[in-house]
Amino acid sequence: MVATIGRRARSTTQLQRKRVEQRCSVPAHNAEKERPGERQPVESGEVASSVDWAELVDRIHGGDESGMEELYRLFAKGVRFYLCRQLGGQEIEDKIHDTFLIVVKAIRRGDLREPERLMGFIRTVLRRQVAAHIDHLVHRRRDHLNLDLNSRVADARRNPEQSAAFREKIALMLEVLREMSERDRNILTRFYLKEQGQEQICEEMGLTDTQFRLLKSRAKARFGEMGQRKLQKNGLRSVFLRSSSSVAHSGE
Amino acid sequence: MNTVASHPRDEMLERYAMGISSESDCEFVEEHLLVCPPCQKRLEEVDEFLQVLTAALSISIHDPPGARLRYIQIYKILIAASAASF
Repeated sequence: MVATIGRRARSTTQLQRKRVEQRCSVPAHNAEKERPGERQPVESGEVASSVDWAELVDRIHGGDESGMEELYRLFAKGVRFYLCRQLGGQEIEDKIHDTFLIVVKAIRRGDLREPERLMGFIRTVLRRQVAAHIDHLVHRRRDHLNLDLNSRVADARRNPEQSAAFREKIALMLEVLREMSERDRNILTRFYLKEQGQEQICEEMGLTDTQFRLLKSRAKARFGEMGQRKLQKNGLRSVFLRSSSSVAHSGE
Repeated sequence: MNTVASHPRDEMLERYAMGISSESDCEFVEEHLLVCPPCQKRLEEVDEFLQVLTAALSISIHDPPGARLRYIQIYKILIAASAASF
């Protein structure tokens, strides 16, 4: 069990390391090429498709309170989501407040010259906030390594209930993996665990790009179907619904 | 780039979650996520799927299917052999 948890922790750490690399703008070494049709149109009324960004920025620039309220309404959830995902919920409220303060001040100074780039601007502010927070933590750790024994550290561990649910999902996933063919399991292992690139997998398994994408999506679909069948008993559907629906969304 | 005119597809979200998306894709996804709660939910599901899958695959390659059964069979053969030798 200890070994299992250790391996899980390693896998989770790998994902977290990748995210840190991504947020620090390190070019992805095995980034896949953008493929056509990877975006699906937003239907009318969805998200913020109908917002007039220029008008919103104008209102904020002019000191209109309703403009700031709308800005908060549109972005509060997204800003919180981004910061939680990157920093794990530590000192989030202050960071959200700081982000809006920086954005509003910049707009009022007239620093945002292209209103349609508002989202890009907010993203840049957020990335700087995250980078500054990480930099601060690194310095604090270095300067107070032996002194700051009571400093707050983000606890990314799950609570006992979450841990139990996670272990249950892994056990279920293992059952599904054992029912898959060696070839399908090999593709999933190479791509998701060993993080091998598409080219390498194709070369070593003698596949064309199309075959690889087809096999990978089929393996995931099979994985999803088997998982759903098993989950009808357990009620842990969401994890598997994601894997099976991805095939339909990706159009492969 | 109009980040609210379209949703990222699952493959793109998955690469983003794995940290292997290109800079332009990363920019598109992050800007889109700022204003799209349904895609935030999708990304959470992708994150969970990847965590469970990688953990299970990690266990699976250390304990491949059938390995336990083979160990039991070998163990039984050894017991039988040692019993026969007495």
